[in-house]
Amino acid sequence: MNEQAIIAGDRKAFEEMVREESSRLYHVILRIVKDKDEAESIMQETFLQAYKSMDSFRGDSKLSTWLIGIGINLARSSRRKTSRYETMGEEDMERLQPSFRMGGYTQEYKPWRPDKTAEKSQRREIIHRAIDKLSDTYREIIILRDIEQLSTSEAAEALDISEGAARVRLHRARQALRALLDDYFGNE
Amino acid sequence: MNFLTRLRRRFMLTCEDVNEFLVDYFDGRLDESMRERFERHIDSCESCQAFIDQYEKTMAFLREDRVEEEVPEELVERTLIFLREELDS
Repeated sequence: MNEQAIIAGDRKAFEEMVREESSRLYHVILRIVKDKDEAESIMQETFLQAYKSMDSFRGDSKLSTWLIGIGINLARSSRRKTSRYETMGEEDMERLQPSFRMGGYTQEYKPWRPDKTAEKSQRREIIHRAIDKLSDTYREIIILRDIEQLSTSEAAEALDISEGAARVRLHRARQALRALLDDYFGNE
Repeated sequence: MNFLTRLRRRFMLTCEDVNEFLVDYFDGRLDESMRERFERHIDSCESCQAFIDQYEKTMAFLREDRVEEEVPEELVERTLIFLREELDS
């Protein structure tokens, strides 16, 4: 991908980026809006907005990361407008964090039952349901860092937050998800 | 973080400390001395072993949920047509 040519407004180079970045961008957006037509429409709008606002690209992240940031913002707005999903609020997220007393866990944890974690297709369904319950900010960092495997610093850039804030958010999101999954995988 | 906490952490970590360092640990960001103390605590703590087992499995399940395949070529073509129409109009 020729970033310099794209930034300079070269249409051919931009179209090349569309070909290279469509898959990841589409999958990130689809995970947020959960509707294929809507995801396609938002992806198109993302590329259009990126082309038109190339002047605002600061160059302190990769162009592909900046693009994901635009896509996430548009997908988030769309999801909020449709409000088809019941997501948890920050207070619920707080309740899903482990608590400590004198430096130790107040709750007892056990490894998850192997028979419950074995079936991949069923597990995928359970995980998708749990991700859907997360608050928007937690869901987004999980999608970028743990599913799409961006580095923590790239996820921070896409979400326009500091790397330190991204690490804290990621940890809390993983712990909330762990608690939601424990309801299923940990039951005796 | 206050001075006493920093001092204590030079010698021993609690479960709460270990929990706080999980992201840095899995990102490979702990320095050698901290990683040694971190792993020493885990080796002797069943609570942390169980919690980290769940935390790691959560990460692994998410990693395997990644969709590897490319989007259909028609979708990319429709996007390019959309962009040409919008930018040339």
